[in-house]
Formats: sequence, structure tokens, C-alpha cells
Amino acid sequence: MFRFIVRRVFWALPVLIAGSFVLFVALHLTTDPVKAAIHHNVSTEALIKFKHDLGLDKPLLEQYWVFLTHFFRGDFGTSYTSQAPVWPPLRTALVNSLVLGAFAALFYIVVGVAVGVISAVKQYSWFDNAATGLSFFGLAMPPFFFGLVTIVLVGTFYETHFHSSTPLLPFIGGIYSPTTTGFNLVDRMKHLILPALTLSVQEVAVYSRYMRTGMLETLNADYMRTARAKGISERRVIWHHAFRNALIPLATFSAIDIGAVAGGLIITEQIFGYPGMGFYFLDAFHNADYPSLLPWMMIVIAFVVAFNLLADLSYAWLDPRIRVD
Amino acid sequence: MKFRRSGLVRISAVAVALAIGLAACGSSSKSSNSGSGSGNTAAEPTGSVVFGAEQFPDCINPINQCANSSWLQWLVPIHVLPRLAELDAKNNFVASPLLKEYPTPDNGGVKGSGSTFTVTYHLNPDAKWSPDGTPITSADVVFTWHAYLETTGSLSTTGYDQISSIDTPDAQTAVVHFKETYNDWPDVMGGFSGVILEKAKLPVTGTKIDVGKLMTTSIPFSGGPWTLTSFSKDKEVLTANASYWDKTRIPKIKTVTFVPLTETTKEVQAIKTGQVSAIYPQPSTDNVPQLVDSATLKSTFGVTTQYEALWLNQKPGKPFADKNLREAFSYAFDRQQLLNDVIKPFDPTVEQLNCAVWVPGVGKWCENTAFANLKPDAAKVASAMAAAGYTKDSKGLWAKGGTELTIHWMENTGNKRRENMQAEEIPLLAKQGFKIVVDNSSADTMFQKRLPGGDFDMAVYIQVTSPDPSVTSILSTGQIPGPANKGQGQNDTWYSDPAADALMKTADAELDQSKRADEVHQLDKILAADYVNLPLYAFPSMLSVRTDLIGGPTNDFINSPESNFWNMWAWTKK
Amino acid sequence: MGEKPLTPSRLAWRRYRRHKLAMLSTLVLLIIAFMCVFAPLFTKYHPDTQIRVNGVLQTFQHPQSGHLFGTNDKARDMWANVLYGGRISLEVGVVVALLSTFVGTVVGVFAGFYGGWLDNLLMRFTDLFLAIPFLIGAILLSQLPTTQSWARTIMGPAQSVRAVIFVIGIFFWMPVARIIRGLVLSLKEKEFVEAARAAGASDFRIMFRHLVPNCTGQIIINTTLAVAAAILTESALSFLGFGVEAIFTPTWGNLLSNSQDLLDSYPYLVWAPGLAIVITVLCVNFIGDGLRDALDPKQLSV
Repeated sequence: MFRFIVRRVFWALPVLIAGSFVLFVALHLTTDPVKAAIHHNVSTEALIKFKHDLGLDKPLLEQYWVFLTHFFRGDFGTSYTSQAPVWPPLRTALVNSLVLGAFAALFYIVVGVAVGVISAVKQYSWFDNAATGLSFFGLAMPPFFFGLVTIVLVGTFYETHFHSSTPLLPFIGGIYSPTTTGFNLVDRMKHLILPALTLSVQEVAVYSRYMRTGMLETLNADYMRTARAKGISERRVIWHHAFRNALIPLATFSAIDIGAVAGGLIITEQIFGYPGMGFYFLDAFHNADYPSLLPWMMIVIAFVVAFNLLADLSYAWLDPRIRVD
Repeated sequence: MKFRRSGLVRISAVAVALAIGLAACGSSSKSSNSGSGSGNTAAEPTGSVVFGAEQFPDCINPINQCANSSWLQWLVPIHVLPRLAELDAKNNFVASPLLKEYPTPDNGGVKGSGSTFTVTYHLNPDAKWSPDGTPITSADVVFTWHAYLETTGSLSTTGYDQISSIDTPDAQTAVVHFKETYNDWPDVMGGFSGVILEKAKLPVTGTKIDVGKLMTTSIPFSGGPWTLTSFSKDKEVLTANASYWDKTRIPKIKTVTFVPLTETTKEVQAIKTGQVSAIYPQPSTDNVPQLVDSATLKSTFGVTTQYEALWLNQKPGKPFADKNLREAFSYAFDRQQLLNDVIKPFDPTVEQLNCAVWVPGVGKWCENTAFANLKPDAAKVASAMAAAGYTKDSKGLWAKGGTELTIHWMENTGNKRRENMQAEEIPLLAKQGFKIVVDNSSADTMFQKRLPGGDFDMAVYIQVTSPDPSVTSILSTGQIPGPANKGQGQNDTWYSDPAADALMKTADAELDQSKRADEVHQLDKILAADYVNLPLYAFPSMLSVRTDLIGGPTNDFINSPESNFWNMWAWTKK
Repeated sequence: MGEKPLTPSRLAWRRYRRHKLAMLSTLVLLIIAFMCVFAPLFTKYHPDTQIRVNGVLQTFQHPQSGHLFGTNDKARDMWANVLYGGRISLEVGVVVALLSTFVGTVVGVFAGFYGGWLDNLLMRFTDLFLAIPFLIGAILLSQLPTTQSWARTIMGPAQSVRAVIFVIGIFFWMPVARIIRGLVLSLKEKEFVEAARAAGASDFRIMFRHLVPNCTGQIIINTTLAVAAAILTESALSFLGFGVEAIFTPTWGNLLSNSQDLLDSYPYLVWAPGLAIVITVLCVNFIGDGLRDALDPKQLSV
């Protein structure tokens, strides 16, 4: 097991570097920070100087090497756009996204698992049928479409049909209402609801389906029939065996799934103006702000790689049948 | 914006410096706003309102790249920072409250020519920085000049690099010496986007005055009607500056908060539900039908100083390098129908633009006649195509030497207005034998790579007109990207005509403004005869307000390049 | 009594037939596909035609005006656009699914069968693609043809159907590769492989004649679900402005994102393409579910 872990961790680093290099090259091929930053009324000499100041006249590999060495020394560089250090805004974005991601994850895991369990225990009941229908519907809905629909629903739709002068839930202001000053937990939570829902709509469906199938597999297994015959209570069958067995693949899946959630953040944060990592990326991408983008890429790729690693390890650890060493 | 629509904004950012208004010509009047003790004791500012911003800058430094967004100008500098000259509601340069009078040749403010050209500013002795109450002095002017020149990533050194020195005979007088006659002096530390900074609050280390790392998310001083309380990626809070020396401009509202509303759906919902009191959106078929006037909502339209034109790439090897083809195409393209079908639905008063690179609203450079006779004319198309050596093939498409003429039309994906233009024009032009193919890419790729790289045949995009009519940087032969300028030249359409080059040079050096206007009109005719582009229309502006939430003169600056929010101090909360 | 012998495929078909939703979905999907492919039978308008009356462009006409879903901002008939747009959306879904399954299967079989350094190399390569967040990679990749002629040769012009298929497909094959590798790892120890080897079968023959057919169930299920995922992904790319060019090539994704802001004023323009996506993806997923029950009853279904 130890060798397995060491080997996988050892392989994760080259993947991280190769992944960031691929994106680095693609970025250079399609954008140009000099043209993004400077309007036409600038002398040619100024453009050339600007390019030199930013080190953009150096060979591509050298530029990447400079970035990489600085990055691993903890020096994240200075944004082309703001001339300010990259790390503080990146940290804020990271924290915001982690909060949203964690909030959404808590929601979709709890709801998904609960729905899955009930559906499995009461297979083919009205609840199971409704949950199945809804989860398939959730899976079929483009998330951006869902997000926009919710805005209209809590906005004009709610005001018109419920004779209210304020929307049901706030959808502007990012993480707080415009007039909130300082930390306000209630306001912060309210601003998480719609983005978290948008982020969760597909995930709840996936988790409940996974859970339901996982539990049914155990509940209908032969050895369970034997167990029941021996007089083990149904409650014990459900919680001690089926629930636990179903959680194993789910844990693995939740780790692999982090990539999909990261992608969902880009769309969700764009719709709600939530200042997280996705929002940060699109901003920096438009400005071709390489120093802001590169550490972002490293962090996101590192997250995905780490969670994939975790998935592999948890799979190996949780499922005794495929112990590796 | 709505993320996909960001292109339009980018354009204004990439296109030309946002410096607009009327050149000095004849504005010898003293500003009516510059009085100090106007006796009005304003009521205490009260209440709090929220406005929406279609774009939100990442940072707010007014000197460096942060300022490369119109919305930054509209959100911060115009409210917080003082400036020398400013633009009034009719886009004339006038004295700001910081000046005792507007410099003119008559009052001795503007003197000399060539290397003796100077502009003398007399600062208002009442002008004080908030919150510390120290006077705004000529030392701040000198500091700011250096900051524009020496800040890393300075957005624009244009004009500032024309200054040879600034004399400060006393704290209230700044004499600016230019290297040569500089017609656009009002835009230096004033006009549109120019500001004055407080030297004492900006600790600069080293020999250069580099303020690039300062003022990223805060400005610790104010010389305007508002002070900046906070700025972050999700909101900006401005508070009334009760100690502002111009008592006529003390705000009536205590706190104004701007929030980003980048998705059209969200923007429309936010104002319809009263979460924001005003928005200043780019009009389009998406928002205009949803923002019709109601009991509580009122939308007003104006004209900006931006114009949209169809540009033809004349780079050698590209089809439009052939002037005959440009002529034929210009007579095949129905500009009026395009306006009727694509623009009128959201801008009913739109009028055809007939100047190559100037608009009627800015200065007297545009007579609006040079391109007026470019109307559909089948006979002219036929003769010009024959002159260019094209014949129609079996499919009815123009071809030369057995090769079908294919024209690549580039736009930024997601810009619906331009996509609608393509949807309409391509089939119409196909009927006349022009095979046009859609060749769009993302705004970033289009404006950062393909436009500068000359990798397109034609494209519709927005340019911004400057008060100074010089177009040397975008239309002169010397600015065609090449080894001489290390590929960084700005003439993206490779236009080249020695006669136009000569006239541009003459006009740039012309001191007499009416002679200069004649030369520009002459240049416009040459550009039209060369079929440099197909000018379309001046771009509209739009303001939607909740009449139940705010009042006051919200529409006064509807035609200003500095946005309706310019005179926010006069707005009231209901 | 006279019953045909129960082959595995007949068994599967039996199980599939019992899945009522899957059967219904199959029917609905066939109808949708038929209407899209034979679109001219169901609308008299061409999707690009701008409706004019006396020279005046008929933008934003209501459904009562003789246009089932009204006309959009380009004065085009929305019903015609949804039908023709379905062709492209379904094409993107099916081609992406087939391509990614093919690539994933080949990678998975080679990695699982040979093991060792080849397995390690292929799986690290898979990890690399898994590590790049899909939307980021897709956004960057989708713009390559505009600046690089070699990319244009491979992918076609940016935002062409081919380019979008390529962009999505390149990030779709990894899960299949992992699943197939896992299956092959366990299958290759089975007797029938040893038997084939003893009979002198080549590696290639063993892989593609013996191992792959034994993975058919998994391959079919994953292909089906990839169709749904690809259609959704195409719409997400359209929302971000990197999908199929919207001017003369309607897809459900770009139709939806083109009218997404009109939910309040012209809801039918939004719901028409929106529901087309939802219903189609719903059907495909139900079919996938049914196939899973039929072909691989033990597999976890999603």
C-alpha cells in the first residue's frame, strides 16, 4: 500500500507540470497580453517596450521555466493588468470558490444520499418514482439554463405572483447584498443558495442515482436474503450493510467528480457574478493576463490531480477486494 | 456584458484612447461651474442607492492597465479625482472646479507654437484634498505628469510625452511647456480620463514616480464630489464628500453603491425588481424590449462618441487590397437596409454615418457627406468588378482565373448585433455574386491576435472618436505592422495612400483650427475615394432608471462619453 | 415450445423491453431524430430565411402569427431552427460519443492488455487529460484554428461543427479508457484468452476479437450516455461563446444561448430549444439506463 501511494504521488507531479505547460502554450497561441492591454493611441516604441518589460520577447520555454521556478518558490508574480501581486486576489477567489463548493457539496451529498436511500428502501414507491423523474430531469437541464430560470423565478415571477416588492432570494452583489457592510452570515448564506443550487442540480441527480443503485445491489443480494432469514432486523440490513456498501463507490466518485464541479463553477459564477475561481479565470483570460492565469491553472490542476489521487487511494483502501500491494 | 458580449466593450478598449469632446476651438468662456463661494448651502446628503454596472474592472488605478475599461472611468475617476479641463454635457472642454479659468489664447493661457507652445493653468485656491484639507497645488500637477510617464504599464503616455517641462511659479500656477504644438492638450490630466493625483498620499520609492502598485483597490484621497469608501470585485461604495469645495456639486445622496450586473437577464431582473435604481446598458434587442417604460421604469436614449464601421483589410494578398473590388463591394453593400433591419429595432432614431473616422457629434471634423453617395448601384458594381478582372461563374458568383472570390467576414462570437448583420447581409450579398463566409472567433482572439495580425478580410467593429482629429496612428502608411515598427504598428487594415499620408501630416501640425477642419474634410474625401471602410452609424447610449427610487437630472449627460453617472451629485433619492 | 433459444442479445432485448421508460424514450427519440433529419417535411421555412412582409423584417413574432415558436431577433422561424438545429446537435452528440468511445476503447485495451510501461504511459496520458479542467481546455483549444493553420487543417475553421466535435471529443474518451482497461485487466486472465493464445491468435486478434466483444455492454452504455453529455456540453460551450457558429448553423445550444435573455419577454424562444435539449437528453439517459439494466445488470447505474 505504501509503495502504491508513493508511486502515485510521484506520478502526480509530472502530470501537474505537463498539464500546466499544455495550457500555457495554448494560451500563448491564442491570446496576446500586449494587444489586450494597450489601445491604439500608443506609440510603437511603447508597445515594444511594454512587451520587453513583461518578458514576452523571450522564448516560450524560458518564459514557462521562469514562471515555474518562481511558482515553486512561492512567488506568484505580478498581474499585467493591475501591477499588483497575483496572490491576494487569487486567494480571495479560491476561498470564495471553496466556500461555494463546500456549501454545494454538503447540499448535494446530503440530499443526494438521503434521496437515494429512501428511493432504494421504498423502491417503486411514489417517492422513488418522483425522485427518479426529477433526477433525470436535473441531469438533462443545461446548468446555465437552470441558473437563468431561477433568477427569473425568484425575481419578476415571484414579485408578480406573490405581490412582493423584493425578490425571494438575492441574485446580485456576488457574495453580499450591495448595502451590507462587513461580515453578515445570514446575507452570505442567502447569496450562496442560488449558485449552490445551480451547481448542485446535476450532482444531486448523480448522487441519488448512485446511492439508490448501490443500496439496491446489496439489498437484493443473495447473502442479504440469507441474513434476513437468519433474523437480522431490516433496519440493520439497511444501515449496517446496504448503506455502508453503497457509500464506498460514492466516496470514490465524489473525489473524481471534483473536476466536473470545477467546470460547473465557471458557468455558475459567471451567471451570478460570484467572485470565485471561475469568475477570476474568465476575467484574466479576457485580459490575457498570463501571470494571473498560470498560478490559477497550477492550483486548479493540482486540486484535480490531488482528488483523482485521493479517489484511487480511497478505492484501494475502502474496497478490500482490490488491495494493491 | 453578459460574458459572451464582452466583445463590444473590448473594442472600445482596444480601439482608440477614450478621449472625446470638442477641441479647444472657441470655448473661451469661463466655466460656470468653477465658482467657489456660490453661496448655496446644500442640505446634508441622505440615503443610499444602488446602481448596476455592466462591467466591473479588476482594479482601479487610473494610470495603468486597470483604466483600460470605460467602466472604470465611469465608476471611479469621474467621481473621486480632480482634473484640469473637463467635458460638459455637450462635450465641450471647460474648466473643472479645480481651475480658476479655462486656458485660451485670449486670456493668455495658451501661447506660442512649435517648441514654444505652452499652456498655463491657474488652480482654484479653494481646491482642497479630502480628507486632510491640504490645498491641491501645482506640485500635484507635476507629480501626476511624472506618474503618467513613469508608471509601469501606463495605459497612455500620449500627450504626456509631448510635455518638455512644467514650471510652478507658485502653488496655484502650472505652466506646461510642450515639445511642439499639441492640439489635444485639454486631454492631458483632464478632459476624458485624465486626472490629478495627491502627491502626499502616494509614497513612491526609487527614482521613478511609479504609482502602478498603489491605488489597486483603494484611493485614499478625494478631490471630487465623492470619496471612495471601498472597492472589491463585487461592489464599489462611494460616499458623499461633504467637504468638497464646489458647494454646487455636493451630492444629495449619501451613499452610492455600484454592483456588477454582467448578465443581461440579471441586469434586467435587478432593475425590474428594484434591487438597483439605475443601469446604463448597451442597448440591444435583448434588453430594449424588456426595458420599456412603465409606471416605475423610464429609459432614455442618446448618442455616444463611438461609431461602428465595416473595415476592409487592404493587406497585400487579401482580396480588398484591390481598390476596384473595394469600390464594387461598397456599391453592393446596402448600409441603409442594415441600419433599418438590425439597428433600428433597438435604436429607432439611428442615422447613417458618412465620415470615415469622425462623427458629427464630436468637433467639426465630420461634414457627414464624404460617403453619402455610397448607395447600392448595380451598374457601378458591374463596371468595377470588370475593372478588377472578375467575371461571374456558373453559380453566379464572382470569380477570377477560375477561382471563386471568397471573402472572410470576421466578428467576435456572441456579439448578437454583429451576428445579426452577418445573418442579413451574407445572403443579400450572395445574390449579387459575392461569396462571403462567416469567420468569427472569440473577442479575445479577434482583437488580440487576428485584427493586429491582419488575419481577416473584413470586420465590423467600433472605434472611438477623439477630440483631436488625428488618425495618423491608425491610417498612415508608417503604422502598417512591419519590421520598421517591429510588427507593432497600429494600421490594422493596411490602408496606404501617399496623398492621405501627406494630408494627415499637414493637419497634425496645423494650429489654425478652421484650416485644420478643412484639411480633415479633404482627408475624409480621399478616404472615401479610396473606399477605406464603410461607415455605419454612431453608437447609441441608454439609461434606465427607477423613477420611484431616484430623481434629479439623470439624463443630462446621456451623450457624454463619461456616462450618465457623471453628474450623480445632482441626483436625488426618492 | 417452439421458442427460439435465448441468446444473450435476445435476453438483453427482453430485459430492455421491460424497462417501460426506456422503451418510451426510444420511441420519443426516434420521433425527434426523424423530425430533425426530415426537417423539410415538417416546416416550409429554411432556418436561415428571414421572414419579411412587404420588405419589413418580422422579428419577434408571436406564436399565433403562424410560426409555431414565433420568430427570433433575426426574424427567423424558431420551429424551423429547432428542427434543423437538432440535426447538428444530434450529430455532435453521436459523433463525439462514437469517436470518444473508439479512442477510449483502443487506449483502454492496449493499456490493460499489455500492462507494464505501456499501461503506465497510457494511464499517465489519461491522467493528464483528466487533470485539465474540461471547460478551460475546451475554451483554449476552440480558438486554436483561428491563429494556427495546422490546427485549422485538423479541426477545420474555429467554431465549425467539426471543430466543436473535436474540442468536446478530446476531453471525452478518458472515462471509457479507464473502464475498459479495468475490464480487460480482469478478462485477460480468463480461460478463453488462454485458449485463444494457445490456438496461436495474435495479440491484435485477442484484443479485438476476444476482449473487446466482451466489453460490448459497457461500450454501448457509455456511448449512449456520452451522447447526452456531449449535447449538454455543446450548449455550455455556446453559452460561453465557444460553441458552433450561430449565424448559419443553428444548434439547440446556440439557439438557447442566443435567446437566453428573453425569458421574461419572449419565453417561447427560450423554451423551444431548451426543452428540445432537456427532452432529448432525458430520453438518451433513460435509454442508457434501460441498456444498463439489459446488458449489465450488476453495474451501478447513474
